[in-house]
Amino acid sequence: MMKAALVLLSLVLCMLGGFAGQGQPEADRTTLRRSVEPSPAAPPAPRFEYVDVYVDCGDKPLAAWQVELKAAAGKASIVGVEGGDGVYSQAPYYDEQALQHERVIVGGLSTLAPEQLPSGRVRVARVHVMIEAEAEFGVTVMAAGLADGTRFDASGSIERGQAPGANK
Amino acid sequence: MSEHDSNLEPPVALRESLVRGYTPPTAPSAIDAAVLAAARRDFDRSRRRRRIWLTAGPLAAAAGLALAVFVMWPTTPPPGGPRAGLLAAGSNDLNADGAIDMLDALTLARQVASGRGVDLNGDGVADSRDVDALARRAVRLDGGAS
Repeated sequence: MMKAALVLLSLVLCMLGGFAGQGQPEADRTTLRRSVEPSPAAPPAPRFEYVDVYVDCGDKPLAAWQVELKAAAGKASIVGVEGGDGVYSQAPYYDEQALQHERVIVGGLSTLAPEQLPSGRVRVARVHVMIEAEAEFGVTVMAAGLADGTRFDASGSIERGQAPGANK
Repeated sequence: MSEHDSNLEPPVALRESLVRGYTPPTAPSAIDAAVLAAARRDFDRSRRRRRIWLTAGPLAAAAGLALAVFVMWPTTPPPGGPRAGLLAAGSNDLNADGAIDMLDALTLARQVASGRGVDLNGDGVADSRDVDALARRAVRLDGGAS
């Protein structure tokens, strides 16, 4: 009974809306159309990208890594973190408080035998970001280690890309 | 009183006749009953309304108070947050290199794998959850890695 009354009320409102629209002068409708068009000065809509994070460990097997990714300029915020390739394809460790902020520390480890660990330029993570104003990102390798826990120097790099269908 | 005023008094016979002729108005008993019933209905209705207010008032006040307490109740964790209790006892710099990072988590993972790990989260066993806890601490933005 109640549902029927609500449906009836909705129908009446729709009909009233339709009549109101029909009765509106052409000039007013033009004004309405204009008002919803974006003004030329409006800031661009935010877009979504990903940042692939690489650790280049040379010929050493990478058993543990930790990097800091930071938007060095512009305005960008982290919206998600996922794994990289191979051994590090699972989601890495990161602080969830980094989401919606411009800085994240990401890390991962593997207890596999050295011969099973990746070496060279390893894609360790993919960080999804929302760009509001053209941003630059910087990556710093905080730690890289061999299977026995020995620390070694490694360099970090990033590659940016646009996820298919992310900015439709 | 003047003589003129006393002339306004009606004659006694007329007065007695008027008194005799007057009969007070009487309503039929049906009307009496209807009026009485209507009055009772009104009275009952206002009494019911008062009773509802007397019941609903305190209930609404209690609900409001409960809502206020719920909204105002501090939901923020105690200083340090839930993480404060986690791994708080030790320095967790397992490899003693002056930093808590993924290398410590790797060290712990290797220890756990060899059956001699440290129970960092206080759940009574040394397992992968301790490794996870230490790794999560290492990537904290608020200085867990330092």
